Amino acid sequence: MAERNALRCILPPGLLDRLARSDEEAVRRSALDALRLDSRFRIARAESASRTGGRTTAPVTFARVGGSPHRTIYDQDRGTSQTLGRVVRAEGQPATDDVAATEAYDGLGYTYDYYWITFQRDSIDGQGQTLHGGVHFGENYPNAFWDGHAMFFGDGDGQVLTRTTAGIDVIGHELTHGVTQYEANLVYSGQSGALNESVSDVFGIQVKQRALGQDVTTSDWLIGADIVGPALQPALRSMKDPGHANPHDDQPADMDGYVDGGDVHTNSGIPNHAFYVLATTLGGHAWDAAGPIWYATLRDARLTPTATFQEFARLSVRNAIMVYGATSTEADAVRASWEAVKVPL
Amino acid sequence: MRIRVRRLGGIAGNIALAAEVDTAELPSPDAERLEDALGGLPWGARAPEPPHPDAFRYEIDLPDHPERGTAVLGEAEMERRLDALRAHLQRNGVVEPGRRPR
Repeated sequence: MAERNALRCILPPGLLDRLARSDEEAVRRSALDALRLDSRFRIARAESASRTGGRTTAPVTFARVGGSPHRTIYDQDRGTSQTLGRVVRAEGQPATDDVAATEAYDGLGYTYDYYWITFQRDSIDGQGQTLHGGVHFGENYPNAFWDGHAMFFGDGDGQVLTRTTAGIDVIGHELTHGVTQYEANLVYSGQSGALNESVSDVFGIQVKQRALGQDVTTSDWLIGADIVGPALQPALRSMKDPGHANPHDDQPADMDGYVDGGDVHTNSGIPNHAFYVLATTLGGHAWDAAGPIWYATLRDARLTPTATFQEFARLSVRNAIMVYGATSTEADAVRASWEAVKVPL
Repeated sequence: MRIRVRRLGGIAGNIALAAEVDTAELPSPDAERLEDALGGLPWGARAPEPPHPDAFRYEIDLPDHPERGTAVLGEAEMERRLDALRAHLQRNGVVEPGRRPR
């Protein structure tokens, strides 16, 4: 039978101190054990805070938990309220005949699996947060978004976008906005906004590549290819060839085309292309080395919410050096990827 | 009165869907309601912060009164104040020609 310690519960430290001086040996031993455990928690929390420069962090998790998503899909019934609607599928329940609900459930799962298997990140917040997805948002609504708590999917207008749940990369993109919110919390304007957008494309495409078993050579590196209507064929964005995903695509591929005051979805072409260059230079799967370098950069406490391209680039080099070494192929490839898009290091 | 509306943002990014409506061609109650709503718009003001990533924003201009500038509304505000115009855009809007960087 496992030994139980009745004092390993929520007690004020003062009371534990007194119990640690008890005449009864069993009580004294239990109190000392509890104080040691309490001390370990406090030291770990302080270490975590110092690493993140005081940024709000999730609670420290000691036990390895996670590995299974908790998903709930709701029918928004064509309304535009961001209050979640009627539950149509909870975790573990069978698929219904609603294609959008099935695709949303599967896409949330692919995204969870990518983050868990690659980084042992347990959901968006790293703490097992339930993934809520509201389908049939709005009337022919041509968009999908993460509102800070849940993801909402429009059915599309048939011209600009079609059913948004069909895009695995789109679901990965939106949920990554949630990951960014819990990590660097990049401000959604200027270069930090373009980085926020780019990070979502970078991990969104990897979610799709992993779900489809694609390596860097078999991926098309297109964002939104499965959700664009006739007006935006063949895709929303191209990480391989920014500016040429569709007839209206205005993304620059390098700093020569940087648009001062440009939309966050415009200048994101520059870091998008840097990641493409890195991943294709290293080869294999994008999540083997390129993805982890970008993820470590996103989580680096030195990455501020108003980071510029250059700050992100420099931190990506530092993280590559930290993991692979200063003269490694990986560190050289990261430097070369930023040179390719003319971001000075 | 001619009203021009553009929708930008969303996951599609910097793609503008645009439409124009002339209130002279609308039934008079609809035209009056629309013209009344225009009076309270934030003409020439800074665009509001987006409520979340990939949110739509709407730009409204009066081609016959360029001196008023542009009013920029977020999605919720557009739906609250000018839902008829939003619906018209969704039904009749066309994607503006692209602006390639080079």
